[in-house]
Amino acid sequence: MAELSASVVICCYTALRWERLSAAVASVRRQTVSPAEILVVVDHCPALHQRAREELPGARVLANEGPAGLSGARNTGVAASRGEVVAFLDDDAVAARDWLQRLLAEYADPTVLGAGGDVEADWADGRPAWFPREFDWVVGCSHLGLPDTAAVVRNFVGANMSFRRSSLTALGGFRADLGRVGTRPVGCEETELCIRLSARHPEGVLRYQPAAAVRHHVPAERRTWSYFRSRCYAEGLSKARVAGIAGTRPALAAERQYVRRVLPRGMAQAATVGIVRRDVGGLLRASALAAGLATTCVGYAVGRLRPGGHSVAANRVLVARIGPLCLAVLLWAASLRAVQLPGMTDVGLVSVLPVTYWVALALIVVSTAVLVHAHASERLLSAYLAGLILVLHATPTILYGGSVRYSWAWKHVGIVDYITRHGAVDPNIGVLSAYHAWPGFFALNALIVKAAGLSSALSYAAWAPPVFALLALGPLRLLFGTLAADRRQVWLALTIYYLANWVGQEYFSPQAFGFLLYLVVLALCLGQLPARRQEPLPLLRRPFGGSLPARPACTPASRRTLLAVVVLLMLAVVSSHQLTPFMLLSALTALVIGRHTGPAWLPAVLAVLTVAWIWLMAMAFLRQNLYWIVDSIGHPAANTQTTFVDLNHASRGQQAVDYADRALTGGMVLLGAAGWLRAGRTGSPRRVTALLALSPLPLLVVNNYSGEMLFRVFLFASPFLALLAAGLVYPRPAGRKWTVVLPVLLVVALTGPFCLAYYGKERMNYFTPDEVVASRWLYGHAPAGSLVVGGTANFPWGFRHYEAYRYRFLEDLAPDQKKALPRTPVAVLDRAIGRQRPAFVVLTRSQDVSARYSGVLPAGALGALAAALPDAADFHRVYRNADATIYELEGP
Amino acid sequence: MNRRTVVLASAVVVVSAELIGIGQPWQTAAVFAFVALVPGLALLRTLEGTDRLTRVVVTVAASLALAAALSETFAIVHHWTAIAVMVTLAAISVLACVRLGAGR
Repeated sequence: MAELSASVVICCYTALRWERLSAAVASVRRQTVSPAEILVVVDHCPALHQRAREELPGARVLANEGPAGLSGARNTGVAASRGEVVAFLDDDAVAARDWLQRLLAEYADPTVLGAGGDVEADWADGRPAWFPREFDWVVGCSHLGLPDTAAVVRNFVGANMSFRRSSLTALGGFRADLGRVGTRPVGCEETELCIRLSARHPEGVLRYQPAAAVRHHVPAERRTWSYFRSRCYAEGLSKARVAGIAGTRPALAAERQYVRRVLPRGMAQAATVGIVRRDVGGLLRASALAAGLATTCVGYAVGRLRPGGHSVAANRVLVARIGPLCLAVLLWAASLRAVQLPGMTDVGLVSVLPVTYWVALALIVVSTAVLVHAHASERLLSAYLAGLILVLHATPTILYGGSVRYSWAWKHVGIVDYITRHGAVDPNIGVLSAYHAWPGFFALNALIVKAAGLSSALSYAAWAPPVFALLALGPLRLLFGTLAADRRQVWLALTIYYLANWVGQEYFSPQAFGFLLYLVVLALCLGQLPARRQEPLPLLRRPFGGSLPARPACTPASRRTLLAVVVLLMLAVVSSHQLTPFMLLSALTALVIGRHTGPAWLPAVLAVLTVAWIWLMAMAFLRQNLYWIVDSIGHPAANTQTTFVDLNHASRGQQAVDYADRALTGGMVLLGAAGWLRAGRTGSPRRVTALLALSPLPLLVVNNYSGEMLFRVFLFASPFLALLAAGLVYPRPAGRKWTVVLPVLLVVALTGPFCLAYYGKERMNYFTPDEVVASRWLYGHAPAGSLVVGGTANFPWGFRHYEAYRYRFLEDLAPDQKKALPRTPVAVLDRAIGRQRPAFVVLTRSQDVSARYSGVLPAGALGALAAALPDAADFHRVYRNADATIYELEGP
Repeated sequence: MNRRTVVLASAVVVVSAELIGIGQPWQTAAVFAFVALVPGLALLRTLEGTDRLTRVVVTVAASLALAAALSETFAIVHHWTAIAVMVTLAAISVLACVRLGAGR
């Protein structure tokens, strides 16, 4: 077969490289196979164009007729060429004498669409010791990831490549929106072209022939770390652009191999050389490999996040905005390794979290506030809030390993276990019957556990706090977006909410599920289901109306679907949790009275569902508990009493925690009130938010919810208090730079008390591996029907076959018996157990801590019991480890 | 791929996974994704005109609420088995998808 004719295209853009250009043209003239023509395309530089025409005889000199840049210049060369093959050589490269001959030889195979060759780096001042050969693509040369012998490749190095002209023309040439323009170090236009060419001709191949070599000049200014870094970053951006055009799989196929094989091998070799031979260059090369990879990945991520943002300056801004979050997450992850849980004091996790944790948290909190002030995009702010949630709520989860936080969560796991074993619930069961009467959350988890083939909900229950907190972000954003017109107020309120909601009700519980659905119902009702009647309200209803930004109306079909969804959510709320339906009823009633949502029958439906559910499912529970339910009606003062820290007996650490609880709760109420006043002055919407913040209060009149009502009222009010508090800062006219201090101060002021309040009782809420092992031993060895006795209920109990046992806790004894416990512990215990056999007495570290924190038992009561039991007749120690002891009571 | 195909395929995959078991962690991931997303996806066709976040929130909340309501109904009538609930959930999702004409 006769050899094909070739046109060689050399593109140039600056007269500063005249000597290099001359050498490149000369090297083509010296080829063993003469090209049909040499085309020099000058990229929008008239002076260079003039000089080339005068001083490069034998070469056709053309001006770039397309847009400025390498792609436009190459396309101009292709359009003007006459050869059957078009070969490209960079203006600062010199071809070997047999270069063209070897390239053309590849075209003997008719399936070859293009051929390229090796590009060897010709360093002006020698290769820097730190510069790895694996990254020679940074300076436009062949790297170690390319084959040593002739092989099929995905794409060529742009400095040395050739294609059949017919294919290039049919393809439309290089994309002008890709590729280097002047010194802007972005590229990948040849990669994209090669991918496009291969896709157009699936039967064809691109052949890489290393013997067709050129030497590529690398000037001294490219030996610097800053060039390396910016080129890596630009490569990531370019790859993202190509991935957006050609699809991720083809765009990254070769890179995946390179990252998996070439780079790890290179790093290992460089590090070995560095360590074994004590060669600093080796260590630097290993570092450069890691840094280069990381920088390219960041560039790629930025490119994918901002597909239109090709401006390096704009992307630098984005990196500056994402950077603090990435750094904070890295610091946080590193900080967790340093935590020593046994060192916890009476301020809980706060005492063992290292400085790096606090730096990470501060970085996220401050950056979020600054970005909110700077009108950052919703996507970026969402990422920061997700980071904040991770740092706040995933920390205990990760630190505690498989041990689920809070003793209540273990009982909840036990109800799920019951449903999976019995395929039923039993509202008349007696022990923990409330959970059987409101089983929605537990039945949902039973479905997940069994369908997923898990042995227990313990497999994932520890992750509930971060997951519930993340899930709440969507409805909260919708809700705040409806209640407030200012976007900065909305995002600051979201930040405040996560830093103020210290009550810890997002754990594996029906309350967390109910609260999430409560937020969704309110978000849908307020945002999507406006009342149809718009005429003025009667006088008595006016305090409930007005003050809500305009909302777009949804279509009748959407409205019908949304109403159906709201009713379904109500049913799930009613059947999952005792308290939440009443909170929702209070809020919905206020909204319907003020005509903020409709139809007006929504609260009536909720009320009917609630009553019907109690009538059908919860009558047994109601009969058992009627006395205290009725007793607490109409006693709001008594209902605000809480069961938490007993300040009379508390240590200084626990006193600090309790003050933080109170300061945060009171502070949020004050901030909300102040925000409400400011909103009145600025004319911002405030009335509906205030109504919703107040809507949980009527529940205080009705019930004390086992001493927790005040906390639950705060939980349901906290989103709206947060929105009102954010109203203290926004809306605010732009222009004064110092005002960024306001949101920063606000969130920083909340962070400290939040951490104390949220992490402060972790000595009680965390169960050590020894405590968990002891509880597992108990349920593995105690026969069915046994009585399980604890000092308090604060240990892992009820999570397995819970209904097979009876339970008694000394904290529930009559006051006179509790008083006698320190003096005659065994006698009190005997009376508490009575004639029930077998009986197992479980004493743990966490019970001791909870008794001390809450004051439910006299000081030293559990210590006295632990000291007396080893010598007590009939009590035999059957299990013991560092944090738990179990005694069995035998005999009649 | 249109939404109807997603719902149908998910229903088939998750019910098959439940019957034959596909090993961990895939089975857990498939069940979580199905329970939290698929029933709500069937409703989205009728929510055109609403914003994206509303659609996402409705998808997740409606899916979880429906799964909870169904599962507890089976438990209350003492006929709860995971496969029965999953098949019913899948059937309701597919039926809703077909009846509501879920498209792209």
